[in-house]
Amino acid sequence: MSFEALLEKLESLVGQLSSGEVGIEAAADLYELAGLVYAEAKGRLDAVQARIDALRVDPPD
Amino acid sequence: MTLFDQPDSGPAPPRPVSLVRLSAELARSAALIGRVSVEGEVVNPKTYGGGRTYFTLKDRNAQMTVTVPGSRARWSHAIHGERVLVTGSVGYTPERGQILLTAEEVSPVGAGAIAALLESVRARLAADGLTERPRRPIPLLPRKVAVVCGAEAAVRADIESVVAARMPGYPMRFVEVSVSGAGAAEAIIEGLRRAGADPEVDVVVLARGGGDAAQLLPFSDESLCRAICEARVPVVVAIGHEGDRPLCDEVADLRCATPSLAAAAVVPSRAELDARLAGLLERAGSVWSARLAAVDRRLAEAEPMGALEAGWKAAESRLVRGRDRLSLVNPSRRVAESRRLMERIDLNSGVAHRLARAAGQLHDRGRTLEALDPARVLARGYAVVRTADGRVLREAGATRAGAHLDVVLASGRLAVEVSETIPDGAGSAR
Repeated sequence: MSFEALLEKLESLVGQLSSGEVGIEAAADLYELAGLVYAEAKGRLDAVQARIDALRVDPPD
Repeated sequence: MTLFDQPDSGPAPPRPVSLVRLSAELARSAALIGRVSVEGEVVNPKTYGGGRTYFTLKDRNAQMTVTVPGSRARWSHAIHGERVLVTGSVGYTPERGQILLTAEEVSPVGAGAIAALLESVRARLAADGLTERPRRPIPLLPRKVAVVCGAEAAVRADIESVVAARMPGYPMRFVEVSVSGAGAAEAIIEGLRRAGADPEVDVVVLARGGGDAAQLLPFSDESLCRAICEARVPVVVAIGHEGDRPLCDEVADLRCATPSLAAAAVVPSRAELDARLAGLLERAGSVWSARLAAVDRRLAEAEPMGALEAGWKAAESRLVRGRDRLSLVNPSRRVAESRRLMERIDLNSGVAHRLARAAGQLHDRGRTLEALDPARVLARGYAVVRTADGRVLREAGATRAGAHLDVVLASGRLAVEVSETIPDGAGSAR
């Protein structure tokens, strides 16, 4: 899943949680899923940072 | 010819030379002129097999035949009566005894001619649906960003400073090409191709500082616009312009006014993304916490104590599960963030406080129940009096003298016979 898809998923989960139409146990599942999606997105960002730290800018052609 | 001519010496004697040799000398002299850019008016362009075009270029009282090979037809816009700039080389063809300007490029000159060309190109692009094509989204986290720009230091410096502000060291690849003059459109297309050939590049920025219609003409080139549409990855254009926008603006996936804005559009900002993610997590936490509180209120309002006790146990286990999930989510770097979140559902928070209070109420009601237990009432010295048919007797007037009653004590029972009934209000105290 692309980074933007993860962000959209997280926003969608928060939206569902806020809507109040979800039962309490389903809400618990949504909250748990939100935490996992957050962790994945954070991981992607951290991976980019790690790449930057290891790379140098390509010289111009 | 010498510098000091004798006025009365005759003209120089003719040098005998063959036609072939004379032609060759002419051809050599013409070749020495090298590449030129010549302005003039187009007269009677005619196109032949293979796409080769011939026209006469006229300016004041001079004219020359121009030929555009089929392979250069893409870069030639010769319209009768229009003024153009021809870039090419002059040659003499001995076989035909003709001076010929062979063009690499024929570009319109003057605002009117340029505008007319752009209109016809735009019409062709629109006819192919390219101006209305669906725009590709710019990736939020491209693996590498390629920038095709001129050698002007300012454009590259602007972009690099934006990168440094948003995410220093972000993987960038700069491809420098000629962005004005003859052959520029071709060079830019080649630059786009090179940028896209790098498999890690996920987006390309095409950037140039400001210029007028003539300088920006390469960016309205039909082949360049088509190359943008066919590029492997999304293309962002940032062409500074003082007048009309170049045509590439109308087919690009994203158009930005300046190279700096383009850099901001493609290079992620670590700070912004971190804040956005953190904000979402916090919202999820507070919404979840509010749901828990709502459930707790409903439980507290429910009458049956059995349901209250069951609800308390269920909510308690959900609370514990929620805390466990949270600890899974917590990345080590965001300790402060997760601590704030934890405080919301920490046992010192309002939600757990209400649950604890509900438990206290449960306990109190339990004690009340205990107090009402009949066995304990009897232990305090009270007795339960029943009639012969088993009903509990509460009023003296509900029985009469001589009736047999059953008295249950804390320990043992008595079978008694009523000697006298004394109802309340008849003078005796209870």
